[in-house]
Amino acid sequence: MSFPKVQLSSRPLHFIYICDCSGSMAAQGKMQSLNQAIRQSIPGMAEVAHQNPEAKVLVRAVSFADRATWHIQIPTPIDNLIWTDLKAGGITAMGEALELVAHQLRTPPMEERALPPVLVLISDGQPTDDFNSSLKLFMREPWAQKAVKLSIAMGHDADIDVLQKFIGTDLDSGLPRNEIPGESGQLPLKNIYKSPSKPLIASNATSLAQYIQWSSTAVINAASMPATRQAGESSGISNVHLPDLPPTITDPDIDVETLVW
Amino acid sequence: MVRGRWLPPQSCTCIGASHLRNNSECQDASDSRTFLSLDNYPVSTMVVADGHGGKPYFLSQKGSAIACTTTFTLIEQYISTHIIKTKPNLMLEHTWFSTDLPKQIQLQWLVKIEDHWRKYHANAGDFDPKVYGTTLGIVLMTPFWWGHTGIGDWDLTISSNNGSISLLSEEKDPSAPGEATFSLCHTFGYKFFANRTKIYSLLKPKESFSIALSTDGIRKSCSTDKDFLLLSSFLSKANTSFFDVENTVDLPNTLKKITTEGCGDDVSVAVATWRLEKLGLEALTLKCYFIIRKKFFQYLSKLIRYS
Repeated sequence: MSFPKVQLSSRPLHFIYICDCSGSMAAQGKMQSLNQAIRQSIPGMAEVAHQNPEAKVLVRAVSFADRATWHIQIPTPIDNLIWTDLKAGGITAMGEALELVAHQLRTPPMEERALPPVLVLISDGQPTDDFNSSLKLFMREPWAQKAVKLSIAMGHDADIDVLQKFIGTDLDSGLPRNEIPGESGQLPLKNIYKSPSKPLIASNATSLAQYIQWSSTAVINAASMPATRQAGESSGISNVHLPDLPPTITDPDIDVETLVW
Repeated sequence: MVRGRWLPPQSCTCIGASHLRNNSECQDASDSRTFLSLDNYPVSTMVVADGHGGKPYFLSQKGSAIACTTTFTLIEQYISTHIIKTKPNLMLEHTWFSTDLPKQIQLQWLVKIEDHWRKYHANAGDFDPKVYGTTLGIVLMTPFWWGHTGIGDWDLTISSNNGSISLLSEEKDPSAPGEATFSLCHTFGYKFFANRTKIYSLLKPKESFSIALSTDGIRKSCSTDKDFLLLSSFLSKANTSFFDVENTVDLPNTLKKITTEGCGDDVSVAVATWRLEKLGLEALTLKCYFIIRKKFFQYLSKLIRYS
């Protein structure tokens, strides 16, 4: 008996960069480093996508400065992705960026059978709009709750508290709520075993490139096969068990004077 | 005159394409069996179970297999000691199916997985049922009623002879982050069975139908729900024509195609068909013969008793 006319398909995995393009990003080559890090991560991301044919990796990017806009609006298969450089200038409309993403996390346009999307927020500063209200709106979307959320702070001027709010409270760390990793020395980021539920702090171009590479390869790999988990478990536990961070991670206890950013 | 009967159910499980590539075990389990009731009626059961997989549930392939065998044991115990009445009290059956049976399943399952843990993993630390976490979908088919129960993200579809296909039971989104589902390892897992329990009478037959019970891998491999319904209807034809090979679905190869071209997860399906048949003259004559014979023996036994 012949197979019916049914469309079988791999599950889409939406990967969205949410990039700070405020004026401060122009300083110390941050913008250039970010563009370079993302561009360099594309081949690795494509390789991981080919290794996981059951997940269709689709990339988008939002940039925010005075306003938030789609830098890459159409979900683009990784093989077709061409990264156009972001340009710095303006203030930090981070909240607006979240609202922009929230609209796209509704079903439709999100597919019912999509894999949990991966959202990477990269910033070097503090939001200049009403971030908290926007975050509330954002978190109302079921796909935002299901998403694998990562945040990368570019330098120590970034508002870690805001980036922590984006990824949610770290319920498993044993640290006090909203505590910055490494602050008390209880759980140094470099020794973390599980998913980083704290913002990643990139102190220079090298560590930024490592984090971008990690989030676009190892995280994509993990998100391609999310484990089913028991409903009713603590909401802080993700169904995507993220791999260890790269071994050469920057220690948050590092002497600030040696930082590039 | 028409008469309905269940064709023997079939089940099949196929390891996910992504699991094969990563050398991980198949976490799904499925099976179907037929038992005889106390009054000698055939009662069929089919089950599918989907172990959660991943590090926190590293023994879920055992959990799903044990869930299936436990279900069969308990259903057989009940069925073999009960009369399947021609006019069943569906309320009573519903209570057993939605409350009593789930309680027993979870209890027995917990005992068995703890035994397994003590036997093979005692050195790994304290026993935690979570590592065996699994979903479980059950369909029970008697000649007079049929029903479904279970826990987790399995799906049940029904397709009738007139071409209509519909989703009979699905897990509503528990609105928890990630791909969360209710699980047999949940402390009060048995309580969640009631939401997925329904019993249908077969006493007033209208038309033939087929049902397909599947784990979430099949639905997630389809682009849309419409595709899923069409695919389920196709799969449920696996046991409609035993002697007609050309019109029979090759379940193992079909499931392999689904996981390879779909989501890559393990896939399981169990299918059954209730076929309405018009009784021919031969069958009617035979039926009349048995009725007359029965009446005759009843009359004879009365005569013997009074004489």
